[in-house]
Amino acid sequence: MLASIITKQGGRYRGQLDYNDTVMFSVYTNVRFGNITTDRRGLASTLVFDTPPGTARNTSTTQRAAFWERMGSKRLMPGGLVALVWRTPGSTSIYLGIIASSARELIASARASATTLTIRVAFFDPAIEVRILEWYQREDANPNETRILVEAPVMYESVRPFLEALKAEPTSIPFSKHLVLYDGSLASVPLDPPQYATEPRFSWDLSPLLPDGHNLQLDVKDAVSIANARDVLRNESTLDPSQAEAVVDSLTREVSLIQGPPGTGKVRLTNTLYLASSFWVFSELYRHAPSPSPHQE
Amino acid sequence: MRRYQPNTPRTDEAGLQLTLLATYAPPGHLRSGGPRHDNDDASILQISVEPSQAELVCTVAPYLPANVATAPHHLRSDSMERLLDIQFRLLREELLFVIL
Repeated sequence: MLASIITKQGGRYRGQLDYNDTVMFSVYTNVRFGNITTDRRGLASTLVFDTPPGTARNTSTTQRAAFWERMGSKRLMPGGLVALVWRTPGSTSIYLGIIASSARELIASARASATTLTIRVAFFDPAIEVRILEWYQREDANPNETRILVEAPVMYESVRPFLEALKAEPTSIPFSKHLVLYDGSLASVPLDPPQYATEPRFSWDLSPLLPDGHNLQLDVKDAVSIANARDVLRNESTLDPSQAEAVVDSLTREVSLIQGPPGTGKVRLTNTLYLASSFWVFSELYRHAPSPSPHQE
Repeated sequence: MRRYQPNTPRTDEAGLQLTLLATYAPPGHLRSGGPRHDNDDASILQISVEPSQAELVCTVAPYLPANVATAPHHLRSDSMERLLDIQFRLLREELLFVIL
């Protein structure tokens, strides 16, 4: 099948993944090289190859441009993964890279020619640039070589940052005791109050939730205080019973999930929690501010 | 038409366990016979996201741990290192299996 693709100067190759799945690769033939350019990613090599059969080879410039404008986000897109397969009589090498050229550059090259396309690729392995320079010096004198470009249906750049991030320092990940794999039930893991709320002088000020003048404090370390907060919020605040429970539950746990159908006041509740924590921050700041003294400079 | 009866959960779990143990081949130098290729390592910090030349042409099955607490793994269970290791390997395989 590959032989027929080479004869037709391009096409699609069906690869077998496993029993049931196949995957389609676009294959571009007769790869030659242009300039090696620099951009913010590093070095990018210019590749020139045959225009694939079909609409892309249309004799009309506007038709060709229109084709790649439609295809711009599906084929030869910036950030896409490609493999340059370089076969000599002695060996076959595969060089992976990311497409560095823009859709605009691709469309411009389609306008300029009905038989070739030009893109730029930032390869992973720097050995390819050396090999390209050698190819230049030989002036492509070896006819027994084939170079094809295979386009993998992989948006490499959209996943790579996540993989790099997973190489993080394990101790820097918060909530690790809830995330790690357990041989057992997650329900057996204790759900503590937030760490800052366990400080000796800390209490939540829930007064903003009550009609003017009423005061309500919630100390997460004290079961009586928690029970009291539930009662008062249920009876005297503008929140409904399930919202009142949600406020107390959220403020006494380090992780909580608030769930509800549309219109039940989840956003309002989140703002309420934010308000409660802001009041704490401001009151702490006032408590620690130095009082002006006539004897100090 | 006969209705398909799935196995009871206990049978499935035992079968899974046995399969995982039987097919387990650790990563990098922990493997008897040494690393599969130059991008095979016990620590994900040493694995480069882009596949190496040797990895592309390697025919040996890669190290893909199951994301289950009871599965065999070279790192301690209930550690963050193990979670990050499994997530990295599985996500990378999902990204690259098409070309590998």
